[in-house]
Parts: sequence; structure tokens; C-alpha cells
Amino acid sequence: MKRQRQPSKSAINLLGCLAQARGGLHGYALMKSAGLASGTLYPILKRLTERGWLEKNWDIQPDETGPPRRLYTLTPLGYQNWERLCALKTAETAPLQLSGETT
Amino acid sequence: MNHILDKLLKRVSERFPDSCGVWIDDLRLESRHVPAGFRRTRFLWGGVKAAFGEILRLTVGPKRLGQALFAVAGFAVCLMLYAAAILQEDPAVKSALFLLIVVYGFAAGLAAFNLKILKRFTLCGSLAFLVSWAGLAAPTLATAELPLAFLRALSLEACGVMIALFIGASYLDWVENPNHA
Repeated sequence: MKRQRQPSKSAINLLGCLAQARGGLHGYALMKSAGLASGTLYPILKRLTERGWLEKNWDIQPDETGPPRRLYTLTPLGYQNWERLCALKTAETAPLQLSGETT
Repeated sequence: MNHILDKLLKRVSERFPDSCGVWIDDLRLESRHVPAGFRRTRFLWGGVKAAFGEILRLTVGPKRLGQALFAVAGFAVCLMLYAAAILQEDPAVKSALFLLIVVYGFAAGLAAFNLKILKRFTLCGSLAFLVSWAGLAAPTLATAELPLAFLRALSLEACGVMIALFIGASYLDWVENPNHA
């Protein structure tokens, strides 16, 4: 059975960018909004697509110059997992905030 | 420059098995939409670096890569010790450094070929260096004309290196072992 790693901070950040974007984002736009290098972004996109968290489709616009490009969108499963990961992150930081308030 | 990087990425993506190289093709297509010049070069260069890393991971694997790096680091230390040893005039220091070259060289060779023996070798080696460190403090040696402080420090340092090698070898032996997955 293949082991599934917990998504990295960069992956969670990427999911967040896609969750906020309506209608998906292209690779370059994602790279800029998530603040990731192309070499980091694309392997993450590949892993998340394999998990079924993302969906990639060809974006062919007749008015646009250049070859077709991929448009990445968050699937319902991806959105669900992003929410779960955010909730986990909040739960992890909450006790720290509480202890900071008491001291 | 961008043309060369694009060709390089194309070549690399062809080397990937099955669908593993699809992300490189996606990156190449997206690069045509990135503003030309430095930005596009940086975009493609990031892809080239990641693709080579992926190739190393797929073809060599973390265990073999770790072993190779271990061996290279070991032989580099041997070279450094040799350069230090030939400049020494004290025969005791010189022979101690040459002994370390043999020990580290053997460990580096084992790191490349057999981690199980390396683990035993480093465990015995660390104990031996610890014993020599303690032995050099013996009162009978106090009158001998030896750089005792240096030799003790060297023994302790070698003991530390052996322990570090043992931990490294144990980790590399653990990586990719299906029983630990």
C-alpha cells in the first residue's frame, strides 16, 4: 500500500490560492500568487492532481496567442481537504495563543 | 538561452517513465505565456533543476544517492587529512593522521558498497577510539614524549565521527526498506 504524506506548507498555501480563485488558475498565475518557484510548483501540482485534489484542463482561448495551457481548479475533494488542513492548523496554533495570553 | 532550456526540458521529459514527465510538458507550454526575457529564463531554469532532481530520485533513489554522497564526503576528508599529514614533522602526529586516513577511507568505501558492515565497523571503531582516548590518559604515558593532548583530542573527534557515521548508515539502511514503510 502506498504511503500518503501530509501535504507540505507550500501545498497547503497553493490549495488556499486555488480555493480563493474562482474558475481556476494557470501555472504562472499560481506561481505568483503562491510565491513558489516553478520547480517547486509543478511537482506539487502533479502530486495533488494524482490525489484527485486538483483537476487540470486545457485552456484554449481563440483570442490568445501562444499554445494551449493548463488551467488548474480545485475539486470538491481538494476543497474538503483544504478545509480540514486549515482546521488542523488552527487547532495546532490555538493552545500556543492561549498559553501566550496567560503569561 | 530560453530555447536551450526548453530543449533540455524536452529531452529530460522523454527520459521519464510513463506519465511522470507530464508536468514538464505542462511547464514548457506555460513558459510560452510567461513574459519573455529573464522571467521566462527563471521559470524554465526552475523546471530544469526540479526535473534533474526528480530523475535522480527515480533512477538512483535516496538510499544510493545518500551512500554516494557519504562516500564522496569520506574521501574528501581523507584527502584533507593527507594534505595535513604530509606537512607534519612530528612522527606520532603523522602516523596518527595516516591511521585516520586508512580508517576513514575504509569507512567511505563501505558507505558506497555495504551499509551493514559499515554499521559494525563504525560501532567497533567508535569504541576503539573511546578506549584509546581513555588509554592516552594513563599515568604511565605521562613521561613519554608524545603530544598527548593532541592525540586525545584526535581520538575523541574520530569517535564522534564514527558515531555520526553509524547514525548515518543506520538511517540510510532504514530508508527504502519496505519493512519500515
